[in-house]
Amino acid sequence: MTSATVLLPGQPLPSHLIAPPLPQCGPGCYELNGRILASVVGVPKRDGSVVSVMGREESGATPEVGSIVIGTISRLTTQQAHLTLTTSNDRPLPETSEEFQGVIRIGDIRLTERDKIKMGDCFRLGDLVKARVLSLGDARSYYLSTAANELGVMYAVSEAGNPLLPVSYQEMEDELTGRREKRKVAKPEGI
Amino acid sequence: MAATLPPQQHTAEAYSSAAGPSSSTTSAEVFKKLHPAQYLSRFLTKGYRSDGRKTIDWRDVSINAGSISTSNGSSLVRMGDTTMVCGIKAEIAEPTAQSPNAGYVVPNVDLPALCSPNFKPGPPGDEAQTISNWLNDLIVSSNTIPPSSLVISPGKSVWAIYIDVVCINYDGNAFDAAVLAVMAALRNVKLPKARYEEETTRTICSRTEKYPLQLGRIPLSCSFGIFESTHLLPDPTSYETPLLPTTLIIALDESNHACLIRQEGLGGIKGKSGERVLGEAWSMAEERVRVLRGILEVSGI
Amino acid sequence: MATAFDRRRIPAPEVSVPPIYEDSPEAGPSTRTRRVDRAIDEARPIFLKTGLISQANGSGYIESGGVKIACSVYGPRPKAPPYTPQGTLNLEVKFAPFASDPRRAPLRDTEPISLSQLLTQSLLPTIQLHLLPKSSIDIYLLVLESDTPTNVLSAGLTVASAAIADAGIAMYALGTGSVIAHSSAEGLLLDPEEGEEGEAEGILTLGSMPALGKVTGLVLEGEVGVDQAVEMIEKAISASRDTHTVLAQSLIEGAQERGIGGEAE
Repeated sequence: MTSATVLLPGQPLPSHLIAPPLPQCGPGCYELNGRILASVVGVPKRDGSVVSVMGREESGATPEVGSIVIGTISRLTTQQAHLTLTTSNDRPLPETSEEFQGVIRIGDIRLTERDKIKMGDCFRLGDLVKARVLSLGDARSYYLSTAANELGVMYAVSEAGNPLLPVSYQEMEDELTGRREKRKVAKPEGI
Repeated sequence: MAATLPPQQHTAEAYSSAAGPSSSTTSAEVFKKLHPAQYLSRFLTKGYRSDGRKTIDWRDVSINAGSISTSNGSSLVRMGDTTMVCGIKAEIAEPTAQSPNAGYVVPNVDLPALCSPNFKPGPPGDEAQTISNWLNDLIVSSNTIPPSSLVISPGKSVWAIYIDVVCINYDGNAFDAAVLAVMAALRNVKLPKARYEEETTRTICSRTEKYPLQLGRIPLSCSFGIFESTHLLPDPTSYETPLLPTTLIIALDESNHACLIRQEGLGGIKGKSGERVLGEAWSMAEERVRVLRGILEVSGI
Repeated sequence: MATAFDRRRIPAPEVSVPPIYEDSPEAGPSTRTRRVDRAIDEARPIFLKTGLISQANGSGYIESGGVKIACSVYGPRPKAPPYTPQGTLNLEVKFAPFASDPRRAPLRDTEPISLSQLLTQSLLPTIQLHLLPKSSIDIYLLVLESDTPTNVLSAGLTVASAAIADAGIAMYALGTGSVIAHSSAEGLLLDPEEGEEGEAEGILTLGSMPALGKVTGLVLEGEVGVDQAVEMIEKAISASRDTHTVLAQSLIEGAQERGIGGEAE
């Protein structure tokens, strides 16, 4: 039976996984009085000096520092772009009435020429943006950064309402009218 | 760069490459969340819905009657993942002076925060209030519980029938599920035999003698949504509902007479007259109601 | 006079009363309802299942004695400001209007508030909220059928714990509830029924984490001696281990349905 391998919160990890040297606790477990106990329903495993308990894959997908998130631009000021986040590390964020919010400050948009950036040349309302979480931010929003080649606008719609295709790191092109618009473009994967 | 790709494919690839290496199932989940209309549209072009059934199929239904012992009648209805519990409690009240020969029927639907991530705790929200009103209209207009059948003593004492429907799992089409739950619970009600004592002005109920409610017409409802002015989708899920600007509800009684028809939204289906769309929906509704009545019959009393 | 007019619900008659039954010569409402074949230290069977509410991140449904409760857990969710370094637990108990005798009219029901607070206090020590900065966990319990408030509290604790674990939220250990009544005539009664509670001198509801041997909540009502109270607590702790076994079994079944450790071998 496979059920024997499933641990429950509060249950000690099997002794062969915690043989000395006492491993560190990874996700899904914690230490109490020198013992390592599971904190989620899941299967234990040891990876070198770290033990963890693997629970449900889709659970707890809240953004953390370093997570790659995708969001839609919901508000723009000259200094900040506000996003409503939909995914974190390629997993949908839980559905909720209170949405996950992120902010990209103007200095965190790109690596170079930070002093010359204009917000309107980087993002427009409704753009789908990929970004990295810098910090948990303020009470409302996570602080995000797009300062890397693979981060920035993934998908956007032109002023004429057609999908835009990336042509460079600074520009996207309306595939029907051929008009170009400025964006902080994310490098498409696999190129 | 990717300039030569057709747009749909391009966006799909952009999503699937959203965050480094990942399995195809998680990227499908991401695509489903980011572009729901495109996601549904791809299923429909292959003849399926996003939950895997065929485009014009209804979800499976099960009815479990009489499981709540603190009620006079109850039912649990599952329609796909949508789950409704209906409990009916009877109390004694005085009729109004205007209608001394009428009891009270008080139906209410609650969509608590428990049943969906999109509902907040607190008093009933807009959707719950709307469904409660539709349900009340349907019960009154169909004369499902003739108010005169609830009289214990004219002008003195009548039954008040409280019908409370609570949603436990909200996966769309709450109205159809609520109507079915109410009808199943009503068939399950047993009221004690009651008599009004003139001297004490009290109504006394028998401990042993019980009888079922006298029911009039039993309507059952069928809901549809129209997607992108092309697809008529029966029994929409909570994922599909926001993508369906036009909705259509048809409720039919035992002899397939309409008890309620309601259309909301202006959109129709391209190339079809409104009459033809209604006709198609009506014949699908007749078929569905026949199936539902079959399940209702065997759900036990 | 009824409460202020409620425009959000279909209006009810201003006054209505639950049915009054005739006096019956044979048997009135029996005060003694425990089945003859149930020993005083034997609990009624518990039915517990996780994962039935597909819309929630985690869920549970319990039937225990005269109580039926559905529970769903949403979260971690973003929390409205202000910032908190650890997660916040929101919990709401709601009774369906048909869940008890007499009917519970909406808006006139105050009991759920105290129950919600007691449950929150008993659950807080079980959850690793420090892992969830500026997030909240929302737990909703819907009582579909009930006999006594103590049983609602006890079963509510067990089912909420099941739902939290089902949601994959990190916990120190699973929480369980148990109820012990003390009656001078019969001694200590485990999992008392409504009539037995009415006759008892003291009733204890206990929340605990059997895996860690810790108590997370304790409510004692009535009048009992100190020694008696200690004995009641010990009885409740040992009973909670049996509940823990039921809880563990349903979570392992639930884990298999969710595909945790399922395909491995």
